[in-house]
Amino acid sequence: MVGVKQLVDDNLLAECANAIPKQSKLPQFLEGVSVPLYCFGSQPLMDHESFGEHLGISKDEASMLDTLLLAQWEDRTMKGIFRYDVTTNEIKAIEGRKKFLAQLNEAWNMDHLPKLENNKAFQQEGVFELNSMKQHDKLLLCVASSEKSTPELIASAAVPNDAMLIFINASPVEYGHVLLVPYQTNSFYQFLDASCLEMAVRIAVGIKNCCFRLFYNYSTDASHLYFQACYFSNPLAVELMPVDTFYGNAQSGMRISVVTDYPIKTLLFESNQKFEKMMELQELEHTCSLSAWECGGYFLFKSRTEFDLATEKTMLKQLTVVSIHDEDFKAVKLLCCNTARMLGF
Amino acid sequence: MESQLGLIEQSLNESYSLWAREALDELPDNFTITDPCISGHPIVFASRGFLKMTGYSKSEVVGKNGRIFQGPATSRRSVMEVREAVREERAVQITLVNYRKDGTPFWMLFHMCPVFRKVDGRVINFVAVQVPVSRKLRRFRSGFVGGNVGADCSEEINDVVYGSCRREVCSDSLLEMGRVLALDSDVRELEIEEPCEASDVEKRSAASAINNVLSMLTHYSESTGRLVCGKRCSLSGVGHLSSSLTISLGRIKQSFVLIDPHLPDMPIVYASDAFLKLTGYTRHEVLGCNCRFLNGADTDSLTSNLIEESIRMEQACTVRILNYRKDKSSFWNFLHISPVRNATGKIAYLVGVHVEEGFTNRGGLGHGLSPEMRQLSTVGAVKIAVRSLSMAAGPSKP
Repeated sequence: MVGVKQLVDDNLLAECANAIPKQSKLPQFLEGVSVPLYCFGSQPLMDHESFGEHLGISKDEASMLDTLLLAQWEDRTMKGIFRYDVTTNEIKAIEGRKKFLAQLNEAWNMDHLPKLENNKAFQQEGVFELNSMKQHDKLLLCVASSEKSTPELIASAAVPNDAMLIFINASPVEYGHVLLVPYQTNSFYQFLDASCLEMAVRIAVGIKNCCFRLFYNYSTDASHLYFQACYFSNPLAVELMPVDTFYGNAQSGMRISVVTDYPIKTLLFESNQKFEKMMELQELEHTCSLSAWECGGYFLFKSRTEFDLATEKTMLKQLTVVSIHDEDFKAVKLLCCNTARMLGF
Repeated sequence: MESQLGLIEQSLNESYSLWAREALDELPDNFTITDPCISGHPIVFASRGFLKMTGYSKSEVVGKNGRIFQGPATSRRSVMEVREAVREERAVQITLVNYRKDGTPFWMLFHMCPVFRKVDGRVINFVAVQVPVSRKLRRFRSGFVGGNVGADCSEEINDVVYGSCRREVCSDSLLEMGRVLALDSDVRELEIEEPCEASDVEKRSAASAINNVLSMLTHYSESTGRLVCGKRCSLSGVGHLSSSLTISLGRIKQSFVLIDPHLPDMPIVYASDAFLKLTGYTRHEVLGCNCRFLNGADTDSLTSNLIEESIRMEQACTVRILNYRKDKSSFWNFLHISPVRNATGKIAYLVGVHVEEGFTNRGGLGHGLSPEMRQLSTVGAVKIAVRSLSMAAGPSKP
């Protein structure tokens, strides 16, 4: 699932028009560093053949990428790189019809972060700076494309020029929480584009674990673009909601649906070529800013009292507040339909 | 070690006697029975009607996971709903696209329910009935369903679209939008396959088929003394794992065991197929035993003490220990033990992952991954699987 947060921005077009990406320098800590490098084979992401692979029972076992990521994450757990052991945090299901989940994460209070309003703290936590030398330990692996026909794992390699760098998040919200940072010719991305989104989705597909969730939080504070991902053993509330399809193309299998009965206006994009992503749209004019997993129905609480008192009603309210309005949502739907049609889906 | 096919063969016979199979074969309904306790959650029985409907032979289906019938048009969401029902050990009724052997998709009503063992409330099977549903096509307007957006208001739409669209989309494609909106205000008709509702007749037919199969299974379970029922009749007891955890753990192909540290003498409560292969024991020989049966004459007691100490301190540890197989042959075991916590954040189990020194199996998919990496990834996968267990529900703690 890709949760996409967006920001209403009056200067949007102006900025897009002269969208010269700000060049970030290659952080020194990446020089001379050796990490495991996973190279995708050359087969395209949307491949009917590769879907067939998923059918056999022998393919039930963990993928190489999944094994590598979990091993590296557990290795850092052993080395004590994380601020806390996230599996000691209590999770509970919130009573009600939506199946929201809540996690008590008291350790978050210990963060040495710039002081911000309470409701922004969680989002702020996600902001990730690459300038620190300490990041070296946090780099788990790199993922890159290659010309070879089959995927390949190189146990130790230098950081390649065009790759997705996968770091741990030292303050994880769930087991396996990582940051996926696209990196190209000595610079980090400033904007989400098709190539880095495809890479992120390829990684999710390559991991092939039903617990793996990919997120994207739009953040104005970040110095560069990154995705986040973690392993949730339970589906998020939003994934369990019924959907209503409003665009479909039988030939390409492309479907766009509205998730009904959910407080945040949510679109679901599906294609029968196994490429699937979910998009949530919300308006951040309001003061409340939620992370993508919160939008999906997974809430974090820093205090025991808040955690104990959490109800579905308050969560619904939090989500409703950040959602865009019906009229705007109609327009977004129209945009999606037309874009899909234009691209021949 | 029991072979997979042997396990599948035994699965029905042990619970329902040898005659159950014949009797089930007489039922006219389309259904399958699966066993969540066997790795891969395979089908252990497929009715004649089911095989006829899907075009597969019995041997092509038995031993496989129900996933083989899914294809590109199968909705991921429906699959997730079924997966959730399995996880929560409850019944589910849902329409779903499945595929025949020849690749043709068809809509069917899928009705699945768990079969509980009466004595301990444990799920031993799932019965899934499939009733084909007549395919319906819903014609609808692409673009907006019931929308009345015309070219006259495209100006206003543009503003909203620009405002509420992700900035990343707003490169060239959006600048095109103005034109598209103006040109494309006609609404094209297009057909897609809509998730079709099953009729009440079909729903009733599925429910009655479920009842037929359940009463048959109940009847035959009486003859083996291992009574089953369609409703959970006793609370899930201590000392056995939920079927959902067993299914998750079955996907992990490494040699490992789960130990329940809260039970007297810390017995093994789960042993992976690879562990049985490594040690030569059968599953029922190791379940309920303390891991020390792997030790022998030359096992260093200091090492075992170190393990006990780590367990007591609730810490992970890695040791190199001399272990023995059932046939008395010894091997150096790189053993990693780690506490594993459930949704309450408390330790639910200990996982012990075994790597035989100097033993490099498997090439292919695993190429490039060291045994140590596989060991750690197993710990991670087990932690994720156990993390959802014992989740409390409610607005506040009791």
